[in-house]
Amino acid sequence: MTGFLLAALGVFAALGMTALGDMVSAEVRDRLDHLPHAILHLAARRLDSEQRVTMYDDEWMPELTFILKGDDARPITRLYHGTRFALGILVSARRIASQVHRKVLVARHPRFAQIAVLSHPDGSLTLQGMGGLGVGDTIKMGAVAYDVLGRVNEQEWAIRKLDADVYERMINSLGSGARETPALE
Amino acid sequence: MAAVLKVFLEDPDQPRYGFELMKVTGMASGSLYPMLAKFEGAGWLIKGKESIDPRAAGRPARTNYTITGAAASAARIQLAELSERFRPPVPARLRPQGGIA
Repeated sequence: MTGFLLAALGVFAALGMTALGDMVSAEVRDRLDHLPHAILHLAARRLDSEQRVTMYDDEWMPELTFILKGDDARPITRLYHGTRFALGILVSARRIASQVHRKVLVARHPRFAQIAVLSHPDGSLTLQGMGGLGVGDTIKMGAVAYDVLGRVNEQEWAIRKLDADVYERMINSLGSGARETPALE
Repeated sequence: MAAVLKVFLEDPDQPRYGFELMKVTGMASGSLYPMLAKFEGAGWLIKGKESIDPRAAGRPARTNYTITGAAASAARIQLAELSERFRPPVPARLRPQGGIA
């Protein structure tokens, strides 16, 4: 009799443990699915309200949702890809924001396309006229420059040394448009 | 940068998505997205929206990028020049020296 009871208890215990394991697994899976979104949300907090709509709502979040719900999204794979995507965005959010901000400035002040922002080794930033801009042009852009530098400091805007070669050559080929000078590193 | 441009040039009319570019180029989102923003700011890429029904798909439509005609032409030329510059030098042709056989 005692043996029978022990066996029955063992079966119940095993069933209970299995059910508990499933619940814990589901809980962990659900929480882990939220991790990339939480990281991306942190990245969004580095943007201003306007950029949050154009970049977080319209671009990053739909892409992350696609990664997490994609056809080949197995639990570990989607967690890996989603977290990697979100962490990359978190690290570079301000750099992306500065690029978008520059586009807005160029649209607002077309001549800004001919200004280069130089970042110096000591961390300071200066503006320099490009494309044969003279003193008169520079003075005319004074108000713009003031605005730009104010925003530059806000956004920690430093033009970094990208593949300057291809970039500069393409800019020159296109004839107009944004033109930037790589950082003086 | 060249790797991203190359993907766009494979089919300039084909809209490309961020995650797709990450997979093809092996770049991290932290490097890719600033570059896409820079390209878009320079007018080389145009943003579009994925043509899906968000309700049916169960997810929001993604943003995609298409390269502009002018940028595609410029990129082709510059990538060709870049490739030419980094091409290993062709060894001088060996010729038999004159002498007594």
